[in-house]
Amino acid sequence: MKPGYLALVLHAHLPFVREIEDDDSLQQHWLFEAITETYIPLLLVFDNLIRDRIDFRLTFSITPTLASMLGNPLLQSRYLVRLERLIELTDKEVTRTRTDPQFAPLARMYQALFGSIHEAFVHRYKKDLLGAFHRLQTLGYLEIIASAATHGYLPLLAVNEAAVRAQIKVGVEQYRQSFGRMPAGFWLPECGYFSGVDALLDEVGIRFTILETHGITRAHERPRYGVHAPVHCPSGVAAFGRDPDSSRQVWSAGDGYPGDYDYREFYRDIGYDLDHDYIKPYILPSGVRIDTGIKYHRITGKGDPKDPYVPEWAERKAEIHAEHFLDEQIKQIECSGRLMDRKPLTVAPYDAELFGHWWFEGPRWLDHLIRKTAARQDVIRLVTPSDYLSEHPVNQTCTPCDSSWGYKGYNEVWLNGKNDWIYPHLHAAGLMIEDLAARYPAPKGSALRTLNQAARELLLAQASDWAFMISSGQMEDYASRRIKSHLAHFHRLKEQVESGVVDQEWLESIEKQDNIFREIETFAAFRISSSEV
Amino acid sequence: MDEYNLPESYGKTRLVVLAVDPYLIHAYWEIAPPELDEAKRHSGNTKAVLRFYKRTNQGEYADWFDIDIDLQSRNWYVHLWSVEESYRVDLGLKRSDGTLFRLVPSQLVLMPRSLPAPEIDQRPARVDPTERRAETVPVPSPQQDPQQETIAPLANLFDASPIPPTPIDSAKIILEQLKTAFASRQWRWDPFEVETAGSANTHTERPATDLTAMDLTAMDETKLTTGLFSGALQSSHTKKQSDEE
Repeated sequence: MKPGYLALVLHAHLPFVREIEDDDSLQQHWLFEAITETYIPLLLVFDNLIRDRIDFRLTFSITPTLASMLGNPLLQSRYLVRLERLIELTDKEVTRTRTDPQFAPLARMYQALFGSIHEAFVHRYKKDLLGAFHRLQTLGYLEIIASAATHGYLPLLAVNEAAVRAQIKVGVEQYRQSFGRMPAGFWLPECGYFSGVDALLDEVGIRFTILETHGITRAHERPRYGVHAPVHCPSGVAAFGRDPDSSRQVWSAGDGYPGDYDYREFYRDIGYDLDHDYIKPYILPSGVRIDTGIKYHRITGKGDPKDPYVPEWAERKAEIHAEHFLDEQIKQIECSGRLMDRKPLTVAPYDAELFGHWWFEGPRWLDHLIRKTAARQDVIRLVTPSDYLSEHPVNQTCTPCDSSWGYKGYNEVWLNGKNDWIYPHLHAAGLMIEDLAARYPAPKGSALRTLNQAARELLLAQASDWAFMISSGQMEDYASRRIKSHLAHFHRLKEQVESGVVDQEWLESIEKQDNIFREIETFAAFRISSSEV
Repeated sequence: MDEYNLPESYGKTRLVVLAVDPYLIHAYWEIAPPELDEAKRHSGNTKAVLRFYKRTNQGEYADWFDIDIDLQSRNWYVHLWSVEESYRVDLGLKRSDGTLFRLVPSQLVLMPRSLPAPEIDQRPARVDPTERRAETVPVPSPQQDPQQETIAPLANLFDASPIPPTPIDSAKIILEQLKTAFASRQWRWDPFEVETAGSANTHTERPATDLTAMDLTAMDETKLTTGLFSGALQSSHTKKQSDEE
C-alpha cells in the first residue's frame, strides 16, 4: 500500500473584546473559557506528546484578534482572577457533593483539572500562551499560519480591494510581530475564498491557504485529484481542500463523534442548574447565569434526562473514536492512492474551540489520534501544508470556486435578510478610507494617529463575527452595537482629520478602548501599493 | 456601550451587486435625490428595474433580463433560474417602449459555480518556496514519481522511534459498530476491488471523459456537506437557551 499524509489544521479565533468594558463582561468570559477549556488543554496535549517523544506536525492558526488578547497583560491578570474564582467554586462543590457517590468524584475531577490549568498558566507558561505556541513552532511541531486582521469575511469585502488588502496586510504584519517570522500559510476567515484573493495573498508572500471542499472540487479546470492534493491558484498560491469525510466524522451535529452518549453534556452547567444565591458570585455581576465550565452529566441520549458523567467511559470513547478516525484515514489513503501518481493527502481543518470547549474530550481524542498515527508511520504521517509543498512543488493549476465553510457553502450566513444592512456601511467606509489614503500620502503627528485609529475602527467593524451573530440571533444586539460604534468612531475620526481639529482627549480614550494593532501602521495598509497606482 | 446611529445615506449614487450563492444575488443601491429627480423629468412614465446582463465566455453582454423593483426599498434579492459565470447590472427607469434610462451601473459580479467543471485539463505548475510565482512545467509522467518510495522524514527534529500501538480489546467491538454507523460515508469500494496497486499507473492515462467510476473530484462532491463549523454549534446553543426561556 502506498502511504499517505494527514494534515490536521486547528483554527483558533475569538473576536476582539474591549478590555475597558465591565471586568466580568460576557464577552471577556468567552476568552477566559476558551483559555481554560481549549488553549491550555491543547498546549498540555502537545507538551505531553513532546515529553513522550512522539513525532507530530500540526497546523495552527491563531487569529490576530485572539493573539492580541492572549498577549494583553491586563486580560492575562483578569483571567487569573477568574480562574482562581472558578477554583474556589470547585472547592465549594467538593464540599457540597461530599456525600454523593456519583457527583463527589466529578467535583474532585474539576478541582484537580482547574488546579492543573492554573499551575500551567502561572508556572509553566508564565501567563504567556502566545509564547507557548510560538515555542512549539520554533521546535518544529506546529506550523502557525496567519489570518485576516479581524477575521473579516473577505468575499463580501471584495467590493473594496483596499479593504481586503488591509485585512491581509495587517494580519500578516501582526503575525510577524507575534512570531518573529513571515507566515507561509494564511487562514481565510470562514474559508471564504473569492477568485483573486489569492493574488492579494501572493503580494505578501503567502504560499498556501485552505478552502472548503467544493472550493477545490468545483475549481476550473476540474482538479485531477479532488481534495487529495492541493492545486495552485493562478497567482501560484497553493489551495488545499477540506476533506469531507473527516469533517463529518468530527463535526456532524447528529452523529459526529462529539455527540456520543458517553461524552460530557455541554448544556448542563451548574451555572444554570444550581440555586441562584449559591452560584451568584460565579456568574455575571448582573446576576445573569452563564456557563461556569462545571458540568456533571453525560449526553446520555436524545431526551432531557441526563445521567452523571463517567470519565472512564468518555476516555475510552475518545480512544475508540481516534482509532476509528485513523482507520478511516488509512482506508481513504489506500483507495485514493490507487488513483494518484503521488501520495494522497487529507486536510482536516477544525475550529480549535471545538476541542475542549464544545467537545470536552476533544483534546483527549487528539492526543490518542496523534499517538496512534505515530505508531502507523509505515502508512500515514502527519504533515503541514508546507511539508507537503516541499515534497510536491508541482501541482495542477486551477481557479478555485468561490466558497466558504458556512451553511450552503457560499455567502448566505454572512449576507441575508437579517444582516445585509451592514454592507452599504462597510463598503462606504471602505471607499472613504481609500480616498483618505490617496489624499493623505504621508500623514504625520496627530493626523497620522487619528488616521491609524480610524483604520483600526474600520477593521474592527469588518469582523465576520458580527454578521454571524446577527444571523444566528446569538448576541445580536451586542454585535450590531459593535459594528455601529466602530463605524461611528471611524466617521468622527475622519471628520476630525479632515477639519484639522483633533479632539486629543477623545482620541486617547478611543485608542485605549480599541487598543488592537498598536504597533502597526494600519492606515498605510489601506493604501494601494505604488506599483499599482 | 453608547448607542450610535449610522448615516441614512452617503449622498453618492451607487449600485453594488453581491452573490449570495450560485442562484441568489443581493443588490443594494443609493440614488442621490437630484439625480433621481433629473431622471424622472427626462424619462416620463417609467418603472424602476434592475437589468441583468449575462456575460458570455467572450466577455460580451449578449443576453439580459429585467427585474421590477421598489426603488425606495434600497435593496433586493434576485433568485436566478440558471447558473451563469458573471453579470453586470444596471439600475434604471424602464420606459413603456422597453428602453432603459440608466441611473447607475453595478460592478461586475462573478458567480460561484454550483457543480464541478466538466473537463479535466491539466496545467501543472511548480512553485518553489523561494520563488512563489507559478511556472508551468511539463506534466510529470507516473514513471518519474516512484510509487513505492518511502516517506521522507519530516524534520531531523524527530528522531524518536514510534511508540507501539496501544492494545485495544473490547473496544474493537464498539469500533466495529462505529464502522457500521459511518458506513454511508465510506468510500465506494466496488469499482476498485479488482484493481491492484501495481496497475494504478494506467489510471493516470485514463481518458478525460471518464468522470464517474474513478474520479476523485466526483467522489468528494458526493460527500460534500456544508456548514460544518462552530457556527452550527453556537446556533444550537442559542436555540437551547431560548427554548428554556
